[in-house]
Amino acid sequence: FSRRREQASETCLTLKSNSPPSSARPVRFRPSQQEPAAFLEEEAPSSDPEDSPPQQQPTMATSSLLTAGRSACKSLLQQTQKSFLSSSAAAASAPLVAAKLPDLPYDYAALEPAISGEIMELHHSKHHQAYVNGINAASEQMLDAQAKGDFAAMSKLTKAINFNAGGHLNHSIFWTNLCPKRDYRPPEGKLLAKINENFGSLDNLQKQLSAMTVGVQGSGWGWLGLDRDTKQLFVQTMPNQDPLSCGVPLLGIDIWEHAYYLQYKNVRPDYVKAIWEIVNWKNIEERYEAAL
Amino acid sequence: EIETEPRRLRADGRKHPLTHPQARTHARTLAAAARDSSEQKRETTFPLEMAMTQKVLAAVLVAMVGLAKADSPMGEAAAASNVTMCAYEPCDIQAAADYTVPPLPYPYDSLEPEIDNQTMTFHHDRHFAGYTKKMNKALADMAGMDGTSTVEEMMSTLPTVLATAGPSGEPDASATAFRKNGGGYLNHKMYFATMSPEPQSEPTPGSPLAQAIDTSFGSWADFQEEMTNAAATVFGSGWAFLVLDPVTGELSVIQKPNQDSPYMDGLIPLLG
Repeated sequence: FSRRREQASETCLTLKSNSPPSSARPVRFRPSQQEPAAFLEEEAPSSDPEDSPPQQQPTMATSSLLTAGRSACKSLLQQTQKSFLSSSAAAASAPLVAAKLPDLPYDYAALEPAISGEIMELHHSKHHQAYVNGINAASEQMLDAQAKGDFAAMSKLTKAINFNAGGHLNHSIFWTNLCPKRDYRPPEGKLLAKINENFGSLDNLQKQLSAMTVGVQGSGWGWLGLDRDTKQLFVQTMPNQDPLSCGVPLLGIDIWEHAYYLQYKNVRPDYVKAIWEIVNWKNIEERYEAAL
Repeated sequence: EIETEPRRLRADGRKHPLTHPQARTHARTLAAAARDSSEQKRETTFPLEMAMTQKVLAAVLVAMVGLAKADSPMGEAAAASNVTMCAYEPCDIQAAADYTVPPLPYPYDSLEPEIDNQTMTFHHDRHFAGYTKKMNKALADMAGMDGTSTVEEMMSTLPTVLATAGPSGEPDASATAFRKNGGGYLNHKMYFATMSPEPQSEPTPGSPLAQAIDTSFGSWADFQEEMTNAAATVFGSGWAFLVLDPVTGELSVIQKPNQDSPYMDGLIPLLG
């Protein structure tokens, strides 16, 4: 099961699925096996602490929604990157800001019948909270290990950091991607034009992303993303809590069992079909335009 | 010996499982099997030891007693029974790739309150059945299915197949499907076989398994702690396994993601 880390950027460009409507089947991008160090390399190291965006994780304030995904991603990259740097000066000048569970912009029951209130409450207050607690604990341990020069511990902690930071980031994006059914409206404007260009139609996009997401083995996410270089939309699945690589995350569909099992049991297609009724396209348009 | 007039309630107030008619019949069957077994006298059923095939029990015995020498009769037996032995029945080969879901060896509600009826029903009848069905499809699609290998044997040779990239640069789709669904089939075949409504809570003292655990982990309690920790710290979907290395005779606890089977590493999963 080759890692293909050295081919990551090339693979991103060639295998992403934004094929025209006539293509026979969606191109599956094999889930990234990148180590955290690899996706850190995407951002040029910044030694200036002032560079960090003021918000470490997205809140539900309207203005922060615009750059929530990108800045959260960037800040997390910088934060963990600084942890890896061997210079203790860097550590001293980048104090750790604790991750916080963001509030939902709606009540737990507001997404029914697509997603039950029971699931929303467990998903937010238990599962996402666990990722928040996990990244805080792992980050503290990482800084501690770094201060001691304990490379064995640092290496071991990268897994926990990748997992919990990813979980926190992914879910923070996810909550903003959804809205009550009564507030639903289809995509418009620039994003709709791009969807039609890259996928042929909204329906095609939904079909492709649904099929890929349902097909994820075990736990993972389905993503609609934007390639930073080519500015094209693509769909991709990621395993476990690996953050979306190769682009800016716009819309995520959580296919971990905790996201749907209590309501839909093992019938993933029903869950994915229902979730399209509560997608907050306004949020996705904002993310898209901010990323252009 | 099975009580012919079971108490209606346990001391802690829970209904005695033997009041369930199916459980009574089942318990009698197991008791008969225990009596028939020529190995040791067992007072209650320990699912692990009961369910394991004789070949694997022999391998554990051989490894632990250190008789894995080529010139000893047991060593020869161990050598002959190669890495790819099948640890849990059914072990018969289905040439036409029509493996069936082994029925649950106890009532669906008999593992309550530890695992409830609905969970057992969904897990066995939907998830396990799904893996079996999709495994059959993958086997039918896979080239070189000659009907001479057990599922375990095919799983142990799978890494070679997976390492061979097809024209798209990825391994053959049916090989990947077999990894997922054959793994799911094997893992769950073992899983359901190693639980019981009337379990023996530790390996029989002095048995080969008990000795092997003490040698490899220090004590039963140490093993339990390691296994529990391994299970609790799996990221995402996966398993913690107690595995036997048939070459070294060592037992160890490993984690595996999704439905990856230890057979792919040449290890025999005993508990998961």
